[in-house]
Amino acid sequence: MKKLIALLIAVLLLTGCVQPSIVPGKVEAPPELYDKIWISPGKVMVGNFYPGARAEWPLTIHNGNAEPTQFEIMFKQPGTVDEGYVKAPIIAQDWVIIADPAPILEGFETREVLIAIVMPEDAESPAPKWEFWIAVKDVTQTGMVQTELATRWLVTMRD
Amino acid sequence: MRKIIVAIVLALVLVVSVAVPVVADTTAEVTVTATPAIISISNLPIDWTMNDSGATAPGDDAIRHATTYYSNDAGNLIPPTGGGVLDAECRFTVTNDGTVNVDIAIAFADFTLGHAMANSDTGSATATAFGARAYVSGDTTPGPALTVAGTADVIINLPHTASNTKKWGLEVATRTDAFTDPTTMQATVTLTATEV
Repeated sequence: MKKLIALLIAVLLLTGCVQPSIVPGKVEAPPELYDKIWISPGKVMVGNFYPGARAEWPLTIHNGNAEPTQFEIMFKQPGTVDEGYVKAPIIAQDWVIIADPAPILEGFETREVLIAIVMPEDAESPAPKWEFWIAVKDVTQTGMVQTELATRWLVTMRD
Repeated sequence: MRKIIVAIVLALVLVVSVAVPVVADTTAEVTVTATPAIISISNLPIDWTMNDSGATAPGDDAIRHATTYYSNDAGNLIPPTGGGVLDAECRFTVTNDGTVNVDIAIAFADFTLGHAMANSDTGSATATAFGARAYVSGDTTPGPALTVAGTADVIINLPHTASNTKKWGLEVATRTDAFTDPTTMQATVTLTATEV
């Protein structure tokens, strides 16, 4: 009986200890964006991060062109950063995994591409808070002036 | 009593198993959340032919050294109004098509082909490099210098509701050393939008 009660308590404690990520849901865009290239999310907030840890979130890309379009997904050092954050060092590029860095989307297709950051155990933390971008660009653009969209990753290290 | 407790334990285990999402490659104890924002911008027109002879206020197609060109449809040698740039002096219109306010940074790559010129990254020309700046309607000049890597400062902030467009232009100061090449030089200017 005591063992069963102990097991019950252990299960209850386990329920409290499991801290899964918030499950990303399917991105629903307004219908008027059907013929626009867009990405989501705008910001990914990573908390309690530490060397040896991994954080991931899917990037959603929508091809607003009627024809198949190739995109490039890349790590980017930010120009401006949020208050309290510093720009990620260039070495952070090696910590970022982009599941498909050059996807070809069919006309009006919406697709998720998993983005993960895996910090090596022996890596030095850039700062208590640091930021990098994941940029998406339609590489079929031919004009002089081109557009690019980026998700901001805001990383807070564990104390 | 024992059977009841066992049943409760099994039920809890089942609940926990279902509650843990499949997307769990994120390390335990690390939290990840995201804003459901949609980022989307568009910019028109996509091209600028400097000193274009076919323009509304035509030039002679030649790009000369030690000369500053502006993407001003009234004339590429006419600078925008210093005390407050006018819409009419801005060739480009950028639109925020997304669901959140965005900041836009601008990068100006080196010119390639022809007598290629590198970007000085300072906004000013040198003997062998050009300087590039942006100017924005309503702002004073000179505008911010445009670098190859992209500006550190936000050039344009665009809301996603009313007034979600902004007119802007480019300024290019060519290198001061003379050059001659019949091949057209090209460069790419990239607008990068992020959620505010």
